Amino acid sequence: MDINPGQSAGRWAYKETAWLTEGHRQPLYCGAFNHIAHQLGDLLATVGGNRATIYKCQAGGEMSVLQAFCDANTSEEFYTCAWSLDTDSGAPLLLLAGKNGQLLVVDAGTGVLETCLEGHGSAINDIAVHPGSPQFAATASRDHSVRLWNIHTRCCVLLFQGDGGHHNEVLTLSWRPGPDSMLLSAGMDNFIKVWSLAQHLETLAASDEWRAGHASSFPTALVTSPHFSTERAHWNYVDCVRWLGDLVLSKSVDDCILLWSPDTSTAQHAADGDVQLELQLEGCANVWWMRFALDYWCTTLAVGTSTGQVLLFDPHSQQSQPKARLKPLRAAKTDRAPLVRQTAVSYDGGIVVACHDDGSLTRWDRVSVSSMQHLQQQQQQQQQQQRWPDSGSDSQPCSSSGEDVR
Amino acid sequence: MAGTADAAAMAGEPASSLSDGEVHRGVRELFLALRKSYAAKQRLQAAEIAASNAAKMRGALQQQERERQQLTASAQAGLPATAARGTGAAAWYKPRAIAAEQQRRRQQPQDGQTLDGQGGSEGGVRGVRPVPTQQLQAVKSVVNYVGGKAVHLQVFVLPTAEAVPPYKSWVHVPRNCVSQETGKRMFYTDEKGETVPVSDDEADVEQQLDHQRLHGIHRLWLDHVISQVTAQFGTGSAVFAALHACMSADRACVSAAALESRAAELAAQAASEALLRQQQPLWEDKSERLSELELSMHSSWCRRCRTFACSLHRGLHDRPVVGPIRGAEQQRAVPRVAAGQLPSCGPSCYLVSQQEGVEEAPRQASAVSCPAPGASHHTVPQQQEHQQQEQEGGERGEGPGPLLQPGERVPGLQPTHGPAPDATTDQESTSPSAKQPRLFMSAAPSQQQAAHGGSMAAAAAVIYTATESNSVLPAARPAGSGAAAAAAAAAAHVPLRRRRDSGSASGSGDAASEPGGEGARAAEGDAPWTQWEDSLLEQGIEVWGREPCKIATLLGSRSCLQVHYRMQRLSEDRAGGCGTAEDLEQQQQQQRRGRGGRKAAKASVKLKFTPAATYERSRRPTNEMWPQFQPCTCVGECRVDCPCSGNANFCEKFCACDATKCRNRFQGCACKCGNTASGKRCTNKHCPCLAAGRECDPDLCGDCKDTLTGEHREGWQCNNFRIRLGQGKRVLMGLSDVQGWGAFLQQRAQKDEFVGEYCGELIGHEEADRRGTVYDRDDNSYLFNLNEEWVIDARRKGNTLRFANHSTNANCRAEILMVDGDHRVAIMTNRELREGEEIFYNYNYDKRVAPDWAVGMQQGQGAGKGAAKKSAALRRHGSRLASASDCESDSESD
Repeated sequence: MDINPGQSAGRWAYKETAWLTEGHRQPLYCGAFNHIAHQLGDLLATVGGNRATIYKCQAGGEMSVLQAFCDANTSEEFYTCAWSLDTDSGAPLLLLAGKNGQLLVVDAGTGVLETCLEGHGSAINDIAVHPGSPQFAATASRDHSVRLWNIHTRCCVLLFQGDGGHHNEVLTLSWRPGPDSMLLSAGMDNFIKVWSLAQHLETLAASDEWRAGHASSFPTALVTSPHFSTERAHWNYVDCVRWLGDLVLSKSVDDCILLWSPDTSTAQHAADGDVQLELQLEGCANVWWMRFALDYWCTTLAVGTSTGQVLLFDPHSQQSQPKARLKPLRAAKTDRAPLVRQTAVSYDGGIVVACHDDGSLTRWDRVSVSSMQHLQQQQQQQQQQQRWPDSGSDSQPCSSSGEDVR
Repeated sequence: MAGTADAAAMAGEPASSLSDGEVHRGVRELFLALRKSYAAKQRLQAAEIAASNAAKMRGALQQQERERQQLTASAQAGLPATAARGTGAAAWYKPRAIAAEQQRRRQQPQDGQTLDGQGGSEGGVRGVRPVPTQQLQAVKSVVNYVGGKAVHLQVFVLPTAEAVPPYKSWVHVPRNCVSQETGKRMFYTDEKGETVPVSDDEADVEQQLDHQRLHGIHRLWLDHVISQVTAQFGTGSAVFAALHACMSADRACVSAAALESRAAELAAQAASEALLRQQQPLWEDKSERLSELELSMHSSWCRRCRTFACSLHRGLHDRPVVGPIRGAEQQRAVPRVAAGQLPSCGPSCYLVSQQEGVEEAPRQASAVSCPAPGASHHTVPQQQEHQQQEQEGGERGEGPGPLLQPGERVPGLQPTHGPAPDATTDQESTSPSAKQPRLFMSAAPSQQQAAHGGSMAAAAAVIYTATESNSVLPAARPAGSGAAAAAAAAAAHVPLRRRRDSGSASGSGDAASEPGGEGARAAEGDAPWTQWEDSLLEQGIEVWGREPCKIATLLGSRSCLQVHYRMQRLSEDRAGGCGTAEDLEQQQQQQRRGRGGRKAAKASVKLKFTPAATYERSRRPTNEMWPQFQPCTCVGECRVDCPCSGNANFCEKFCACDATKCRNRFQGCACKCGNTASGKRCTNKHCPCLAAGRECDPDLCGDCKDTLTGEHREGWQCNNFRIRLGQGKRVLMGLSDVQGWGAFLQQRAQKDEFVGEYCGELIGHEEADRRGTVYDRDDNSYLFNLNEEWVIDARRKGNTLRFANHSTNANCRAEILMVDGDHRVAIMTNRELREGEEIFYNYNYDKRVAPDWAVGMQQGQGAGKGAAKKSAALRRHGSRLASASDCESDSESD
């Protein structure tokens, strides 16, 4: 597969370069690399508790904290974050949302709270920023609805709910790349739905022209019927879905990620679709909110396990076994680290970060296979000499990040 | 697929000859082999799809990136590091002037917004509340631990607005609707915020899962396995048990029972496919289906919702018997308009050819009295006309059309007469006409009636003729049946003749063998008439009467002349006792209408009596739930065993019983004076409709009817059509003064005025208990007991009145009214209400299950507090039901 020249066809080799724990020690529910702005591709945002942190993942394993925010409301718990872009100035925007159901838009360049968008009746579980038009962000909520916001003009453009909508919490969202904007959503009602925006392009255009400050709010359009809907792909919560081109990657709580082709050709789809591939996971059963992530080019799929490991897959190959298995060094002795809620994969798959349940982060960098073998020997030696937690990470990145932050 | 299933059907023996252990082993081996081969096949297939998909995806991603290039071109290369203590904050604050300037630029188009408003909670718009731009100010210090060492960071505090009360999405419905989803697995949110499934009937859940797996994205694999295994090992239960054991480790594991049923499905599917391939399906083969089709169409018509296939009453209404059949027939037995007035449908119309036929066959014109189609008349032999006259007495005179005297011929109709006259002798030709005039007359309603009651009259007529032919013909048909035939013959001359006729018909066999038969056949068209066409023809007669032009349009495949001849032929056949197909049809029709076919034709005066339901109601306690109204199927008069009166319900216009005789019908109101000040009537309990908890019925309350069309006299406007006409007030949802969300009145309202209907999904009590457990845990129930069958659930579907809160000192109340046979919930005001006042009503929870906070409230502690104890299935009740009270908090335990 020559999709990603950086990723070798054979076995993949990654080396742990850093780990740290955030002071709140709450679960890190989300971590996301900036895939929107190319220049800022090394920025990683994480959320946990009422805190959001922006890290810069420098080459060589250094993870320096650039900015940190916390919500004034201590009861707030951020569940999700996403990167966007100010379409006027090109400034990077960080979107935060969580338990209170408000979507916060922070300008990470100037330190300005751009806006706080309200409308959801309950917690927001996921944010998906439209990759082509980053002013559009969709949010999935516990109130069984999905909303599409224009964060530039600060209005709610579309509301996906109703008879054809979800009947329980919506957990996850994904945008299909390409001109036909298709939104994929899934949730606790086991349904996976595809929403088409083809009928609502005028509304989207109108929202760009709209100016806040009027007495009335934007005339939000209601979308009640999805383009495609099935509850027969998974028989439990669907906690993560992603588009892989025209195919769908979906994960439930039963130790496998399905790659399948939804039959979206006709409105009255007789069949739901066909399974193309099942990725075999380990230790993911019966725990929900364990999400996988893909790099921008969708060549590296990373998913955590309940034992704190990260499994890497190549979704384009026909292999259901992982290409690499990343284990935190600090778990070398006990063979057990806190479970991984979410993983983040950088733009080209060079960096994989795991967000653990205890507020810690682990970072792995890709290395060539030959240097990996060398590294493994080194690590074995280290493990013999040192004891956890001192052996938890390579001393190099730790000390460097410590110097930087001081 | 077909082949394997065929093999499966054949393979019953090998399974029986093998022991269970052998079967198990065999199935296991086969299963593993299948899995391997299937996976290989799947992989091959998937590789192709994946390659094309990957290429396409890469293109899309690249395109996307190019589009974003211009956006990101101006973006800064890095972010300021503000978290590092000492340096970062200063760095961020220094360019504040720049940031403020940037901010102003952004705010320019949005004049009228405050820049420094904290939270913006004063905004008038509730749905979307964008908080204006704010510079992050307060700085706090937090730590990170890197390699076991604490690192201090500076954190900027995000000011957040106060969140709105929680709610979940719901759908606005203007009317109650039956829930489509029952028995679904449900979840609730526990104290920790975890979502937990409600323990449910696990078997039920398993069954659902089995269905999902069998028809989900694994269906191809499962079908493949099932068909292969059954092909080899048969369909014994041991086979499926073994198969189940094999796949128990799989994701798509299906229970043995479900496997078995799916195997049967596949076999049946394969068999039907094979059948289809063998014989091409033709429309003609479906002739038998037409009557079924018609029956299903009629039964799917809901008379209460006036729509097909309503979900509320699930169709299946008994077709009512409207009044005495014979009377109806007589009333509608209007002689048809003269043939001269009928427009011919074209140059080849049968009417034209008939005109020509007069000269050709003058002999038959005098002898034959076959009625001309499209211009039916009474060219019946004198004796028969006499007989009819005697039987039906003077009632005929009441018919709206011109009365025909015995033997009289309709002027202008003289030349039009039966077709293929050569084929019949005098005797034979009279026999069809013995029956037909009545059939024609009734089957062919006049133009005015055709639109309105034509089909009903036709239906009644068919019943009549069907019963007649059933009672008379079978007796007459067997040549040797002495007594019965003689008796029948004594009653009328007709059967006697008919017997002879039938004898000759059976003797001569086909009509085509008779002289002139070939000509008739040629006239009917070269192709023989199929059953389907005959069946359509019959339906056409029922709808339009004997009008070949219209029926030809319906058929599409025959000209009106052919239809005309065919009609003649059929009526001859029937009269000759050969019309078995039609007899069958008529028998079916009679069966389906069932009863009441031959009630005496006494025009009855509307009786004044007390309906039985009134007695029943007086005997019942008022705090019980009302029984659901189900139209009764009584014949004629309702007796003691009528389900309506047993349920303390009145018989409604949807019941099958005889409206003129049923003693359980509600009589409607005839209110003469109402509240003259308001210029309305039916305003208080002096109106019998209101007193009985009903809305006025335009079919019963004659004077109220005009209100529906707005043609009522001044001061005679009926005030009791409020749900029907939707005369509610405008109700808005807003932040309650008490708790969570509330409903607010946007208009002023007088005392005892109708505010709106409480709408929602209709669910059964069992489902309500299931949902209730979840709602009680969430402490957020929208259930409302409607009657013994239904509970309204406004959780997912409803209107803004679902937000109305509870109060013991409520300004509104809920009443359950009977509207067109359905119970509906009306919210009425208790006192005069100002504009913008919040709506409260007493939920009337049962005292035994009322939650603590509601009990506390009753003791005067004020409106509900959030802390609620769980209780079993809280439901609201209407005001006519038990009074106990309680309160809803719209809060959801998040």
